[in-house]
Amino acid sequence: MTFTVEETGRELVLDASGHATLMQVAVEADVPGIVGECGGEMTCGTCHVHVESTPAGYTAARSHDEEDMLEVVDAPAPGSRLACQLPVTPAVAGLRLRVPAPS
Amino acid sequence: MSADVHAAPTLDVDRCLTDPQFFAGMQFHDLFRRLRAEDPVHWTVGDYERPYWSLTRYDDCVALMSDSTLFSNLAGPHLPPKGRDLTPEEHRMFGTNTHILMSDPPDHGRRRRPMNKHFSVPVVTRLRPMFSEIVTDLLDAAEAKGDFDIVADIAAPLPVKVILRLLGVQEEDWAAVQQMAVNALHSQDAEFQVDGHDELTAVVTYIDQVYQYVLGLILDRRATPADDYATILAQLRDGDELFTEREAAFMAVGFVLGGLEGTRNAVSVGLMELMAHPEQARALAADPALTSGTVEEVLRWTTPSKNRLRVATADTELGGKQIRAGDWVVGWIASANRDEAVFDRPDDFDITRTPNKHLSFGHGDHTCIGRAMARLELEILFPAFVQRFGDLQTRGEPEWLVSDNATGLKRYPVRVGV
Ligand code: HEM
Ligand code: HEM
Ligand code: FES
Repeated sequence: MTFTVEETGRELVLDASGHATLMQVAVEADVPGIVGECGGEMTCGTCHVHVESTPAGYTAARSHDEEDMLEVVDAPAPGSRLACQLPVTPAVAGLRLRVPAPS
Repeated sequence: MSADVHAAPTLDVDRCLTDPQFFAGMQFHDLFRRLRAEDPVHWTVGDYERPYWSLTRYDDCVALMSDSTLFSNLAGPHLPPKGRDLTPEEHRMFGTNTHILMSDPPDHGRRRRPMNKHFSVPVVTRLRPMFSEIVTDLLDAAEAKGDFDIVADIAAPLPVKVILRLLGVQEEDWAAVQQMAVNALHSQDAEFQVDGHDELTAVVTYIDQVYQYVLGLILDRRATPADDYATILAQLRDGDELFTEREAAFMAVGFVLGGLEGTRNAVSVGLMELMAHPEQARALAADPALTSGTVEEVLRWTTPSKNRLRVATADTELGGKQIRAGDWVVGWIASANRDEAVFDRPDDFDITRTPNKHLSFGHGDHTCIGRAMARLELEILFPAFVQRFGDLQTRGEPEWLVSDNATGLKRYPVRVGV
């Protein structure tokens, strides 16, 4: 799977194996802009990403609580997600995410 | 460690653990070090009305706070004064099972989830200009005075100005609300005891004053919304239903008490430690990249709220000890934050410490909801303070608050160097 860091334009291709969520993948790889302060409890809002393209077979619906948190993040977009709510599944390899630049 | 502690280990340890005076200062860490090594899950039968389990290791404290079904918050968030059960009337006045601090799943989540976004990092980060202005004003005023007090002039007013403004309390009432919070939370310290009140009665009386005050605010905002947290709390919904008046007002009580108490104590002890470690203060002044490390280390070092109280809801085991349903279990997070199994050189204050997974904001479902606000206050204050005051002299010894829960100073007089 690929993270594009908007601030620097850098593209990081990461291996998600061994992790439960994409927030964990990003934190482990020190992806700038992803902090994951609450560990995935949906209380911090520090794991916001834009999903650029979703591979076939990858689904993860937004819960009500996720929608709620997404109302307050910087640079919201139609593809906005909390990376802690995106599970690592076998279909994850083709996922492309963008980390919006800090405002 | 003194000889008499060895001579009668259980009795003296327990006496200490049930004596607020013992906790004024930082010497209590010697006892915790010993408990972590010798009896990390310790049945404590001292001078309080109820015996309780004292957990002093990090992993056991995490286990305690990780399961809020097995370990209930309904008896209170921390040891009540004199370690006695609240009466039904006191429970009503504390809002037990009305606010998040004293609710269990599933009510806890139902009440807390709608609030999380309003305390999230992105929302709080937008408050930075307002926080910075308050810090600058406080430092200007202190500098102009020349002789000032770390607590009265910086640590106490900072959260009062930040939190009460955010909540929407009008400025002429700030001093009164601050006094209610102090009287409520410092009842174990003779200086703040009000005649004729037993310690717990004092807590009830003053928490009720805070409650009555913020209830007025909530009702007002329901009629006339404004741009403040009182309005946010007044409009909280559980699905389609508005929170009850009591629920919304007790959320505001938590905002005031949590908001004023922890930050003041972290600031007072943090500034004292930075003054005691001038080389670290100079490093921070020169390199703002050390700010986050400083904030986390001050939080670990201070542990502004020393203990977490839970009640076991079923028989269970912790650290090889049999815990019975109904037992009080106290997680001493102040001890967990110095656990040598988790932290290198735990008794060294080191702003470059990493990792630093302290438990000062709790853990699990009840993890402090105000932590982003508290961190932002500290992040702005500490570098600004050490840059402004590279040459402070003390005018007297720091005086510690007497409390088995709060770790903070009452006074620390200083002078700006000439
Ligand atoms: C965040 C930091 C907090 C600190 C440092 C703190 C500290 C204290 C202190 C010092 C006392 C007096 C009794 C004692 O010394 O143990 C107390 C009592 C109390 N506080 Fe807190 N408090 C905090 C947060 C809160 C919050 C957010 C609430 C929300 C409503 C709350 C509710 C109470 C209640 C109900 C009591 C009386 C019962 C008891 O002692 O357990 N506290 N607190
Ligand atoms: C350095 C400052 C602070 C410290 C050390 C601190 C500490 C804590 C701790 C340890 C808890 C966990 C309670 C438990 O496990 O029973 C907690 C909860 C809480 N704190 Fe803080 N706090 C601080 C600042 C704040 C601020 C600024 C606010 C409000 C704006 C606040 C409001 C609360 C509330 C409402 C809870 C209850 C959360 C829940 O039960 O779900 N605190 N705090
Ligand atoms: S990690 Fe905190 S909201 Fe995702």
